[in-house]
Amino acid sequence: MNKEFIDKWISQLKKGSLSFVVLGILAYDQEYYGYDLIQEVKKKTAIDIAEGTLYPLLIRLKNEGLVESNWVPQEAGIPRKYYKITKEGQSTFLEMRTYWTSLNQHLTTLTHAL
Amino acid sequence: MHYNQIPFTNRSSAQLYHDYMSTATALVKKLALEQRQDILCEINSHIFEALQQQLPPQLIHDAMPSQLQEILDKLGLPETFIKEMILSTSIAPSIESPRKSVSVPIMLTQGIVNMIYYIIYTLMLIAVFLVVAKFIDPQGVGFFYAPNKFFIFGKLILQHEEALRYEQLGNYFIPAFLFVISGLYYSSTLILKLKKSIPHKL
Repeated sequence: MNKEFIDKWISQLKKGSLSFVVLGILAYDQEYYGYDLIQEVKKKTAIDIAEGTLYPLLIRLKNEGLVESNWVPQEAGIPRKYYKITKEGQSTFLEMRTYWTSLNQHLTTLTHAL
Repeated sequence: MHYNQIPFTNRSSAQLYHDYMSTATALVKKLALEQRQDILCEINSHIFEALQQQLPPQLIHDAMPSQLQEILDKLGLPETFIKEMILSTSIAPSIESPRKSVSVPIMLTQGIVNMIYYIIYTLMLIAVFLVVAKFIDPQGVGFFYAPNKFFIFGKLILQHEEALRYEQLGNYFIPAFLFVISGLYYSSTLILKLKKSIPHKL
């Protein structure tokens, strides 16, 4: 087994699916602030990502109009930036989910045939 | 929005936090003010929220360096993820574009200042050259002046051998030029300071 190759493949797979995961978490109309969202990703997917990697992704999703954000002042004095999914984000997520389900079925068939 | 710094009672923690945020600030300095502050506030908020998970609210400011270091390690090196944030931000149309936003009066002012700077710099190079030339050829280099006859500043050519008698500066040539060079150098630094003080956009 080529461990290095496997590790690289897993890393790419995680990175590639992260936008789908984030949109999936936000799809339930709940707002999350950055740190909270990272913990949710870790909890729901067992993906142990470097926490900083989520922020560039959130910026890209925002640029694409899939999520929106707003700063909310906190009592402690350090405001939180809350993210929520947009309508376009919802429909994009549904499209991604359809593809993901189809891909998953094909891959399951393929791997079971081996 | 300007980020509110988290005060730490432990000096090592405060230093650790300060170093991290300073690196982040340096990395985002080329972004537009709003985007810059947005990224810094986001990082600051992440650190604070992570501390809140580890410590009760009243003890956050007493965080130990090891606790803060763990949070920063998980967040990642600023050089890595902030560069990605900048790259992602740069795709957005709101990135500050100095070329597009520079106004005509500012461009003109910058052009004039640049021109003055290059003139001063060229004069300085000429003065240095003359000092070196004076060392190599003490007689042939100088300030040769005779009313209605000569006005030669620099290196004499053969046809003006007569002019040697009319050299005005003599042994003061090199000190005078060193003085001129230092004056020009001082002027060039002043011009550079002036250039920096010109706003990049209105």
